[in-house]
Amino acid sequence: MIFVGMTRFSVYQPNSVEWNASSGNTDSSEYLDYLYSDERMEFRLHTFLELSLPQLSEASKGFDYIHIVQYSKIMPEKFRKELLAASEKFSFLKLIEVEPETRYDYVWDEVKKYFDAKSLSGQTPFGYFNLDDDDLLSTDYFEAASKYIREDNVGFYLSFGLGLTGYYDFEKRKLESLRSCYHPKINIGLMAISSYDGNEFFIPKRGSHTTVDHYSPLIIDSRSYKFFWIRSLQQDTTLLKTNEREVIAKIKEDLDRHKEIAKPSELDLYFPALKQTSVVPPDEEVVLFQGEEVLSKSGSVYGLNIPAEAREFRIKYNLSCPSDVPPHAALVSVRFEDNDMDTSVSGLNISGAKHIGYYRYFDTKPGTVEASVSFTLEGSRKISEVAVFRWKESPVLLKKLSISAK
Amino acid sequence: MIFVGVTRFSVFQPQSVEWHASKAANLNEKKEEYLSYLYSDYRMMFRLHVFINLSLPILEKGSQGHDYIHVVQYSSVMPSKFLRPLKEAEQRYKFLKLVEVSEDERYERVWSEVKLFFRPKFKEGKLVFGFFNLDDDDLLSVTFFNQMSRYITEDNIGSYVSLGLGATGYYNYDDKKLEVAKLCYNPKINIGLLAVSYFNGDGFFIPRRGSHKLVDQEAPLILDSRAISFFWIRSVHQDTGLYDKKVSSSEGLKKNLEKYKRQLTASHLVSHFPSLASKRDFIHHFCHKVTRKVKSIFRKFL
Repeated sequence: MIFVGMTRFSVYQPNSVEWNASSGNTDSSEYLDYLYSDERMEFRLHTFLELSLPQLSEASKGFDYIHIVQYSKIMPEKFRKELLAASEKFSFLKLIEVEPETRYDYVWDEVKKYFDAKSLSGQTPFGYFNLDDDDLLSTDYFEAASKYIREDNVGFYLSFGLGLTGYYDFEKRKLESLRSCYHPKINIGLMAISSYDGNEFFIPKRGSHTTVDHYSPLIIDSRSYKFFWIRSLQQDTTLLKTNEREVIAKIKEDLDRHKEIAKPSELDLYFPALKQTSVVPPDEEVVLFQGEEVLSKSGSVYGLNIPAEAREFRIKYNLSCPSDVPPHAALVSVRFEDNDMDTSVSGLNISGAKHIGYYRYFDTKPGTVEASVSFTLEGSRKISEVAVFRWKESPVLLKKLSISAK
Repeated sequence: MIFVGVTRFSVFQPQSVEWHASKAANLNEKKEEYLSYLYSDYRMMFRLHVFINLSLPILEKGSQGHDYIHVVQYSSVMPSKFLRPLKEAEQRYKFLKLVEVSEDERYERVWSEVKLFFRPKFKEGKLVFGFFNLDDDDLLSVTFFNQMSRYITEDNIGSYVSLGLGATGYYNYDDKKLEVAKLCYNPKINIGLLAVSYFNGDGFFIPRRGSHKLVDQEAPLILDSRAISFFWIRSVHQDTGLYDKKVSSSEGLKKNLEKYKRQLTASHLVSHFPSLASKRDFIHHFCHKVTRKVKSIFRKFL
């Protein structure tokens, strides 16, 4: 099964409607400064290279996939370098340099080469989609789409109407206000069921994504999360930001109109690239969890980003335990980037169970427990995650978990 | 292509949540009052008219060339004067099958009737068909069956199909006249929402769904809004007026229809809902066709 993705990576379009509309002027040098400003580009490179591409890579396993990235010749070298590095890493990526007058045919010639190398015969149906550089698709996107890519559906569009959305704090790389987003016909992941006859491509025409069903039959499947719509301060839509706080408040207010998701673990399942990592600055306590969660045997994982020079750690926890709770009913496990499980760590035990690794039991006793676990690292080891597990049958309620480092 | 349609013709079911009228009865907790409302002449004459004079002729025309059964459920307590016209219609329309249901019965008897229809056709494997519910005051267009046919395939079993473009308008029952007719874009509307289903010689598989508005959260949905496929009639004789005073008068209903901006043309009315079209519409449609023909002839000469 073949999929073709297309991303216009901050392509310079002097006649961009969005720019003109939002700024009310047509000064192209100002547009260029804005388009390729560090703040805007760093955010987009981060979401595309570090979040979106790993998702696409995972999703496209077992499928034939080419993803064209168009970029402008005029884009500064330092950004282009990063795209080039990504194209080395992800074999499905194909970079194409374009100028404002470059015709679409030129881009499709690249896709044609890809198809022709496969020595296909007859009509070959394939899925085609555009993807903005700040949107994400789920790890099962291609799998779910593949059952609709058939000859009798050529000419149809396919829309996955259910996804997730949330506020992404780019500075802290932190996701907040995670919500469910039911939005049939959304442009993220909207797929054209197309075909190639060995010579030409047939791609069903459409106008606006909101009226796609006026022109073509549209399959809508909204049974599980297939897209992630990132909301952040650095996006074009907040071009006219005057006050950052106000903009963030507005985004969050909008997000609050969406439903919360029943199982937050589905984020890790469908969008592992967004798995939370908390930045832990030295001498500061960072709260990893606050609320009420009955610990599970499969564990809850908290990703961390702690400066490499930190050596002393303290994990504080607040539990609520039933009156008949046995000791050692729960534990905290610490994971390192190097995956080494033999070197001893002062303050932590090493478990024979691989998924536990380095750990300390929680001091479980009836009622509320407020205590902490401290440990010290030697050498240059870096913590990647902290996980908490229920270890016995007794239900233990986690109310707060925090970490500090120095 | 095989189609199965089901209409619950003013079925008396005090427990049912499907009826606005029955909700009112629950509020009042007066079965008698509900019964007399449900089978009032005012309400029933309108529904019999819409179903028999407007809907059935279109269903007959549209289903030509297709294999079609339409089951109409009615209550044993329905007065016989209303049953008589239905029985007459059953004689006239081959595809129509009446099934009497009791108060606590749901669809069991409907499906045993449908089974009789399927038995002689079935050989082996899966016999795919399209299944839809149709309210007695809603209309499908003449083109509905042909539009749907391409989607009723084995590959699409388990999916729903919604034809999202239709029409709506105000129907003056006293004068038997359509007074307002607008184009109506309403994806996932329950009118004509079709389940791609199958019969395996033993039983039926019909994809499950909850609310029609969220059908795509439970099953894949094919949405095609390219052509007109339904007519949503508004009339003062309908149950909605019971709760919403805004739509209990003809003025209120017409005001409500102002939000639909595009008119339904006389041509569309004639070609899609001929039973709703007036003589004037037919003349209009005919003149329009002649003009087009004349124009094209002239174009050849110029």
